[in-house]
Amino acid sequence: MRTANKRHMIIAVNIAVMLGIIGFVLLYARRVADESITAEVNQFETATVTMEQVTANYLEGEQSICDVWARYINSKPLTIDEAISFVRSSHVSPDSSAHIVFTDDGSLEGLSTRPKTGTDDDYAVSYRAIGLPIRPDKLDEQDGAINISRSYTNPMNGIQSLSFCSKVSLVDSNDGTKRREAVLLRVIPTEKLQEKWVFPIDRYKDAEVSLIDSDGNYIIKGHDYKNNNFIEFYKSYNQVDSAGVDELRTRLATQEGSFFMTNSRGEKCLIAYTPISANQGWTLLNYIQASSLHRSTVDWVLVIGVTCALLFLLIFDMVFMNWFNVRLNEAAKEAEAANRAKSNFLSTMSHDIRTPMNAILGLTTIAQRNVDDPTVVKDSLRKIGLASNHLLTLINDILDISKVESGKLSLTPAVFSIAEVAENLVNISQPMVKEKSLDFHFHINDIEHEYLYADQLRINQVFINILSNALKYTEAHGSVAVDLQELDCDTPNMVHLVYRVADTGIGMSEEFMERMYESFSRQTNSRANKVQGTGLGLAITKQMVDLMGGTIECRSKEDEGTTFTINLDVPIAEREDEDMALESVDVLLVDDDEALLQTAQHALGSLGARAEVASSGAQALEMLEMRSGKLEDHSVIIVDWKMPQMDGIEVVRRIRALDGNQAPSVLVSAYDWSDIEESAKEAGADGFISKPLFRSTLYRAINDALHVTATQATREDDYSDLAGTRVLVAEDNDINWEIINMLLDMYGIEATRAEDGQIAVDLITSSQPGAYDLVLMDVQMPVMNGIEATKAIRALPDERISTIPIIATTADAFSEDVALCLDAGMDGHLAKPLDVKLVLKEIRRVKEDKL
Amino acid sequence: MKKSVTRCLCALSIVLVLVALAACAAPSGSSQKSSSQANDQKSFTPALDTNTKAAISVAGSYDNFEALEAEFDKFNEYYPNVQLSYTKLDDYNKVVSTTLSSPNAPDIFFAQDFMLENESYDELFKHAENLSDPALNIDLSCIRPSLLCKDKAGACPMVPIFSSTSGILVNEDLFKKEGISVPTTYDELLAACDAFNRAGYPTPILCYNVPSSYGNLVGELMYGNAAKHPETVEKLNSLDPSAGEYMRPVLQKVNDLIARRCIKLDVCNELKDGYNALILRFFEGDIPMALSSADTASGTAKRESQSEAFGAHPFSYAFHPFTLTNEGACLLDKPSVQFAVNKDGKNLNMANEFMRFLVSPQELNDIARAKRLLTVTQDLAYDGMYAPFSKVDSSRIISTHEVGLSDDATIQYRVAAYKVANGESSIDEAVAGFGTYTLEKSDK
Repeated sequence: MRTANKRHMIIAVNIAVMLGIIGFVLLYARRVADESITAEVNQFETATVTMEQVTANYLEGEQSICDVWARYINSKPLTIDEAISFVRSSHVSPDSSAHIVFTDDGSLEGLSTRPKTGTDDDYAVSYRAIGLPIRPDKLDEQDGAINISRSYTNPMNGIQSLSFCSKVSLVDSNDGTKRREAVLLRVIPTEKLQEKWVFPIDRYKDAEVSLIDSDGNYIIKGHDYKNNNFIEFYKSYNQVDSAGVDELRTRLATQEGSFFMTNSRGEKCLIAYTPISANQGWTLLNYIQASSLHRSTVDWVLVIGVTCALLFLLIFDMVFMNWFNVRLNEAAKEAEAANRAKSNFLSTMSHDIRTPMNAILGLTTIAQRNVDDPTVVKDSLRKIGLASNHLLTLINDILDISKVESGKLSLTPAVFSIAEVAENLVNISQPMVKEKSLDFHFHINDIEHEYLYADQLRINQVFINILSNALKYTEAHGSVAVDLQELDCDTPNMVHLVYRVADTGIGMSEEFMERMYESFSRQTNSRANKVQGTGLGLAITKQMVDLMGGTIECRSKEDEGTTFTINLDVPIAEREDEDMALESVDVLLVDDDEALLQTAQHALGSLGARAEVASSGAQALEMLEMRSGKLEDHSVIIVDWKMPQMDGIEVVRRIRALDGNQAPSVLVSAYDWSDIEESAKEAGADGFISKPLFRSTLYRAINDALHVTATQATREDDYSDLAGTRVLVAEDNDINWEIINMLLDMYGIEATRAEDGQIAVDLITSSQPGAYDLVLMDVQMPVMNGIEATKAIRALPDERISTIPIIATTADAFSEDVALCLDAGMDGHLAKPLDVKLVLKEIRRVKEDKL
Repeated sequence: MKKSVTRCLCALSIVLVLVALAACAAPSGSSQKSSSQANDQKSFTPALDTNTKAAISVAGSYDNFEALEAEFDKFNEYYPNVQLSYTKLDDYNKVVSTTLSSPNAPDIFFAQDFMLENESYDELFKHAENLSDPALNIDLSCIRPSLLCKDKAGACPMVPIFSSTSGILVNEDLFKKEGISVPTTYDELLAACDAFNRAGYPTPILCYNVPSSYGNLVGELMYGNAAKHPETVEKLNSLDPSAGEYMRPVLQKVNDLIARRCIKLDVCNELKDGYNALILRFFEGDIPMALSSADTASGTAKRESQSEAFGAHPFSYAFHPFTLTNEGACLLDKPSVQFAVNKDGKNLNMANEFMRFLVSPQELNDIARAKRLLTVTQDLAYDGMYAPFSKVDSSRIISTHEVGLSDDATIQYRVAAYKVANGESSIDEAVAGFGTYTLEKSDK
């Protein structure tokens, strides 16, 4: 609510500021306009004064004509007829006329230079009805004085006119000695006069001129002037008191200036005034509408532009602010969600870690209390082992998902053998296959390239996750089938790997499938709950497949099973396959799996061997019997262990029973063959190989069968060859040292401890060449860590010492950690907690490489 | 909710800005006012091209005709390029014919009903357009028929713009104060006068005591009797001395009014400045009734501000019918100013168009109210001051020009009444003097 109020306040302030700016612009514009008007007013006043001067000149000119006539008349004894005749002859303008009117007898009658309208010869004029338009006694006879009448109707033609007047003295027409007083009027229509008061400036073409007398009566009246009196006109449409009227009257008669007033239409107009200097009492008035003065310099485009820009800015700000708030809300929600996820994560972790830990601690306690009961101790230790492995998996997964989600997971590609990957998968799956008596199949199809270039660790992890899920969630006696297929890839030097795992397990609900790739998502039902899991496996798998640019698909149905398909494009390694050839080798391959037979036959053919296949033990025996007659025994007989009707051991036994057949026989199994090893050897089997049957697998198996007496299986479990090996263990942790020392001691391996990297370097430096066979190097140690120590050792001048094999033993188990170790010069990497078998294998590998 | 508030604020800001801009952009309020006025004038539709440029001049005898100038402005709302002007001609009645023959002849000019029968104005009417010509589409029906003057051919050469009548300015507050009703019959008049006399008022009826103003006193009887007895009109107009007897009942009423001190001439004689003085005296507030014409009554509004007494103690007043009979109030319907169109004018079409515009109830009422004169339309109550005349029964409307009394005949009545009222003649002497009376300039 408070946020909303603040937002409204900000908007209100924005609007207020915007309106303020617009107001300022408008006020400024108005000010500019006012200044413009003031300048216009001044110019209008100036124009009025100029017109006054023109007017004065005109009046003086007209008056002078009249005065010239009068002087002439007065200079001679003329009768009215003679005088009017003279004036008539002097007339130039067709519009004007002249009257001579007697004033001495009050008749106000006389003669006109032009006849009365409608007549040809009626020149008599009378001012009796309307009176003389100027008082004779007011006539100023001084030189330069202007005597102009009021506006009146010319009695001779009915036209409104003005007269310039002069006194004249005439001789009585009847009595030549009698002088008569008269007034000479030079009569000019006001319309003609008005034409002379046209504004000389185009910009004032709408202006109107008026002349008023001292009472305000119009002498000349412009169109927009109303009433017959300007003062009355002003009073009619403007608020003014009597004092104001007096003041206005005085101003008009005595000053130049201007003022605004309202006209009859309610419009504002400007009146500029100036007294006529040539004729006291007259004032020239110029009228113009205020709107005509608005030569506005206001740039309305600018004003509107500023307004629009401000509006745009306001709207943009509000939209942006709104958008920003939405983003903030989303961020807040995400933060809340992340916080909830973190809480959930911690809660889940707490639960998932405590569960195996509870088992470990509880079982440890049970074992301690029943230390004298080997059965209980053995069972407890077995279960502690299981719980520990689960805990390790959980920790590994957590670390992985943590790295995935933080975007720090990176791939470390290297050359690897897909055959090894498959073999590893089979090996890993064997315990559970055996435990659950699963029907397990591992098919390979068209694997042409065994060596690829990718992050083997991650590919292993992905394949194992999918396979282990299938094994975990398939109930006893169910079926799990793995298909690994190589397809052509559109990209050169790459293969398209399809890894498909199909099981007949419990399957997944559609609802769960929608979120199965989310962290800590586990299907919750009574059957799934029986299976231990972290809910991270699929999430990690999906992320890793995405990281590798692959796809993962899943089809599943509850109670029917699940099929995961992973598609990966993997570069082919540049490494050449070793030169494998089995020239002149005749192989009999016995298996009920037609696909396997076909694949294996193809593989053997590519190795140069001749391969015959039999789909059952009986068929194989039949084929052997037929051959025995021809003395063409097979070089090697490869028999699948699990076959219907007659298993592989029975087939071998019968082959051995055949007369004269000494061809070595190798048992093939997708299962752990340790259980059948004894009976198989007893039956006459010469070796064992695991499915799937890669070319290399077949090559090595056949070679071994033909040339090697001891089986690899036997060798793998026999670590006696490692006895006497001297190992320098760089380990700062006492317990870890104790564990590794005891484990190695179990196999006759002599271990020497270095408490940190520096001591390890010192020991190596001071030792004789060959004093240590290899170094197990912890990474994180005080004084000098494992990386630096390795570098120091590799930098030693004595090559016999500096080339000593160094295996990292560290809890830093990520691929980049591995890469870091290898880059530092180490020869291998073992992740803690240490699996003693892996340690022994690594020691053996190092020793063999050394040899 | 938040979005809607934001939108509202946006919309509000836009509206505010637009309103502000619109307010600044508007040249003035007058144009809006003008347009609304134009919208009100729905009845008038221009018949000519509204962009026509023309100059229309109106010539008349009024010194000042602002009411007409206001109509010019309204006409300009339709025809902005038409310049209209009013010019007063000195010695109008004599000079107008000459003016009409001049190159500067006006397009519209004043005319009077008496001119129609006067041969000296034949020249004037030769220039007059027949305004009843249907082709001109001028709606004369909005004018009271009693005011329309037609020539012998039945043409209507002029249309009345104002009308006039005789009546009394009534200080209604005084009548209320004294509990007296405004009289509508002769008896009520006498009773009211008695009451006011008893109350001590200077004079119940104030009048301008010159012969010409006595037409206001005797006009109803003069025209009323002639209307009832049309056969007397010819005799009266011919100033036959025997027609003086027709004046006797009228003069008797005048004599009675003076005798009953309804009109106290000593008070009336204090008026030295004609009608202006009459109005200002009336505004003193102690005069119940002032006898005047509607033309005089029209000057009251302008003079309210000139009267200190009225400014200090304003009162309610109106112009009421005045009657010397018991037949009820009467409207002596006289055309006042009439407009004729110069058919030889330079802008005949536009002049006719202006007349078509002006001759409408709205404009005729407006111009009458502006001039404070009696309207020529049926709507006598349009101006509140003349509202009492709207109650006059149609049978009591007397059209002066239809009666046909000549100006000279009415002068006989007015002078005779003046003489009787002032004691210069007895009734018999006044009757005997019929046909001999004239109005001197000083009498006017």
